[in-house]
Amino acid sequence: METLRKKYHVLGNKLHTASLTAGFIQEAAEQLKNDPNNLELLDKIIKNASRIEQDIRDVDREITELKNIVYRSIDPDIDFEKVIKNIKEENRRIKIFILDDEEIITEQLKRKYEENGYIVESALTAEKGIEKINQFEPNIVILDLHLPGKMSGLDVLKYIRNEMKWVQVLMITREDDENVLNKSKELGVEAILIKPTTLNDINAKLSGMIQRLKR
Amino acid sequence: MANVYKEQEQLWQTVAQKKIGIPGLVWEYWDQKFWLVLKDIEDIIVRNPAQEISVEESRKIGRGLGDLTIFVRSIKKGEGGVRFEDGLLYVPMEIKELVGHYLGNDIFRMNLLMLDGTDLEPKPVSVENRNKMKKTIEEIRGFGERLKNLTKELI
Repeated sequence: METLRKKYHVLGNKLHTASLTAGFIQEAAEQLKNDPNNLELLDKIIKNASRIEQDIRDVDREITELKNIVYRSIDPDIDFEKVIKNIKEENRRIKIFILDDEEIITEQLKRKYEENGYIVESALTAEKGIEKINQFEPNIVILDLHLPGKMSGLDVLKYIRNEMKWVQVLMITREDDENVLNKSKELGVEAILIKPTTLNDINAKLSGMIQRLKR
Repeated sequence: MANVYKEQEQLWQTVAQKKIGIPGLVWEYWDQKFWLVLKDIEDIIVRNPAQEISVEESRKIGRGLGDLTIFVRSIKKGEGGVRFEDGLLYVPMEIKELVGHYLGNDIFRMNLLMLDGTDLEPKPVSVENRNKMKKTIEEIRGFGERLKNLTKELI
């Protein structure tokens, strides 16, 4: 119980600090409008924004630990390994396809999602991707917009929309050209992320898509 | 390094042909917000080349990568301006696109390479990924040098 109280305390402090920092950023941004040459202020905003990101990661970690403590306090016999195994079993019903021209990116994402139980396949070119997607029949495709060769990610998206309407697509792109993004939305992409992005951002988008699959 | 496409080479050519310069203050800003942070990450990466990257070191790198992500997003966003002491300085669209193409991808890749160490249940990052991080940092430096060489005479 004492540990639980301590965790709540740490979490409360972190959230309080984050909300104060957010308040500071808001005020500083207002101030910057009237004093656009204030480099020092801009520095402070950037540093504080970075601090909030770190705070959020810490809070995330604290919440996970807190959850574990709470679960254990409810039922000390909970077999967490079994729970995780069940979640992984559940995830095994979901097939994810990763299409990105960078081997390191496909490798790392594939490894991480396989660790979580998903069935994962990948390809490095649009042509190979379409061939594999046809055989693999994924539920979700993580698609890079920029691909080498004659076909782009948009071509792959068009193909998926025409031939495999049930597949949900998460587009990850280094492009933030409005025209390209609008075109992707018109073609019915479920979610878009602009690089540089993080696994947390990808997971947040994927989790919405997976919920849709489970409905 | 991100794979090079025709349009990326075209961007380099456009920068050269249009003689696009990058103001010195922009480079100063990059030095502070990007290169120094990258140097800190590199220092950790090269320290013990034959060992895994510890969880503690991974956290430091993770924070650095967070700063680099914010920097690249700030350069890419907006109508072309970055605020400095002397006012709003213009960052040409071609430069933004190059930054987006190269750095956006490279930082995303580094985020993924460090995943084991920055996870909710962190563990040390493999030597193999340490080497890939090192290579990526070298390539980012190559990109920076190419950009600086191409634009320095034109400021």
